[in-house]
Amino acid sequence: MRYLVIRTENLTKMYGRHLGVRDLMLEVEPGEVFGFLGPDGSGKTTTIRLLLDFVRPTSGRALVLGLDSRQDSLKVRRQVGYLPGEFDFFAHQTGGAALRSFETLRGKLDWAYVDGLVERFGLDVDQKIGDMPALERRKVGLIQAFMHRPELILLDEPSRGLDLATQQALYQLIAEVRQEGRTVFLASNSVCEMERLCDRAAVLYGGQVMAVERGVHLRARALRRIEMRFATPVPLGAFDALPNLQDLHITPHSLSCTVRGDPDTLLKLASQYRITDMLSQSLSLEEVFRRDYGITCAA
Amino acid sequence: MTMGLPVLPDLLHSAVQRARWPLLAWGLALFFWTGHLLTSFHLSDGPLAQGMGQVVAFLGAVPTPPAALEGWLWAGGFALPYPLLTSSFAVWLAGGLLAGEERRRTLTLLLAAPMPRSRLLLAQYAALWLAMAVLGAWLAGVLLLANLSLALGLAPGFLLRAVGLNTLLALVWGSAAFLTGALTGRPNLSRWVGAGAFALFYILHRLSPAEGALSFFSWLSPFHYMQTSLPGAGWVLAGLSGLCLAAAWVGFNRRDLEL
Repeated sequence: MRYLVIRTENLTKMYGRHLGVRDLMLEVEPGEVFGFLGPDGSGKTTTIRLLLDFVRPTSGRALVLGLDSRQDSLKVRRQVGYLPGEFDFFAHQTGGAALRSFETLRGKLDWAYVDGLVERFGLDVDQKIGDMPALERRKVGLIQAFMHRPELILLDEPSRGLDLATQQALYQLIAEVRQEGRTVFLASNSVCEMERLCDRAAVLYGGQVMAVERGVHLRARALRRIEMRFATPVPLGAFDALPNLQDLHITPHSLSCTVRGDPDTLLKLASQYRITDMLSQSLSLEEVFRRDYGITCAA
Repeated sequence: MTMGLPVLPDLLHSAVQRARWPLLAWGLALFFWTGHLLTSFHLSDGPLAQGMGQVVAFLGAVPTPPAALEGWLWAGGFALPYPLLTSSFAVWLAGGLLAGEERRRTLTLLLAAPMPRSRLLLAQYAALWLAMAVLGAWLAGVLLLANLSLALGLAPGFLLRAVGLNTLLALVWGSAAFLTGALTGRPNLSRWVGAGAFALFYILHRLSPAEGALSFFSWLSPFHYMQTSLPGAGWVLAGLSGLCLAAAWVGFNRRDLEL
């Protein structure tokens, strides 16, 4: 059988009558950055909790690094790094002491590598966790997820609460991990993040996988609302030939539309006229799902 | 298999640090109540002591205020106030241990590492016993010091046994709260269950007749085992706590965690 870093077989989790995930069939290859894209409440975190044995499946099973996530839970967790969406740690400890605590849990660490991570993320290791702002705590979480060089790194909304510099450092680190042949499983509700980082991404909605796509193809799904105002009149049919425009509304001095994928051709065409104002806004993932799958996010 | 053990002191530290101010407050409450109780016995002729006598008789469920100091201390201290104070602390603390840490998501990173759930559970339960041992030692110290300095003439063995049983009784309610927390992950529910169990079994104990066919009911209440003269009472109370721990162990290992 082909070796997969993560394999789920009809994995289902019900919380009473509430659905967590249903019949999840995932296959994550070694050395890839696999995205798990979906709006809040779609089952991303539930899936990670199942992989880590925090919650138990109602039916089906998950294999992580070839091991049963339920029966070999300790072995799985020994080889996995995890950044939760939300977490806390002992308030009395400094960041440095917390990292040393993790060494006692995970075994001997390469401290040169850990120090490199600390420097890269700019963590103040002498500050007590109880006194740390959210960003610094998040850095502790990030470092502990990568510090033991795990075979698989599970990241749940990793960019949440990060500033731009930390985000860039994280993206760079993910790229390096991928180059080393290790695997990253990244849950997020950001299409842009998925498109930028992931080799493949599963699109999750309502606890079910709607599609698995190559990361670069996600760009084509992205929706952007664009409004422009022109100084001189524009022919009403000037933009009709563009295939990736939706909801096009045009008057002699204004244009509004939804662009799917790259706005490049629209911008090049519009630049032939004098633009006095322009507004560009990414549409939410919910809106993308509504248009692509005809589903509403009220569920 | 030894991996993870060094984190246990951190878990203990975290729990004890969270409990230090409440521990001090409960310790002071025990100190002042003891002082008031013993002082009022010595001032037995005054109106204050007469009023206190009625209170002590009510608390001890006896028809008249006890004339001997040992009976006075038992009725005014060990019959209800000491169990109430120590048990309320145990219940408050136990509710915030495993369930509280789960709710605060402190357990998330620990359980993402290769640490068995049962080890976390034991560390948290050890914190409960540690804190209760400190509170019990404090009460014993207060009573022994008062006994010596005021020349009360009470047998130290009686005081130590009574304090020991009182601490074990409090641990029963604390363990019930801990068990609820392990099963549900809800700190407030755990505290309500612990407090409710205390109230329910106290009423059962008070209402059960001492003799006759229905006296059997009093044996069902852990308060029955507060009697210092009852052989093996401490083992019964410790056993009840042990049962709660065992049930917590099974439940916590089986359920979904809210991490």
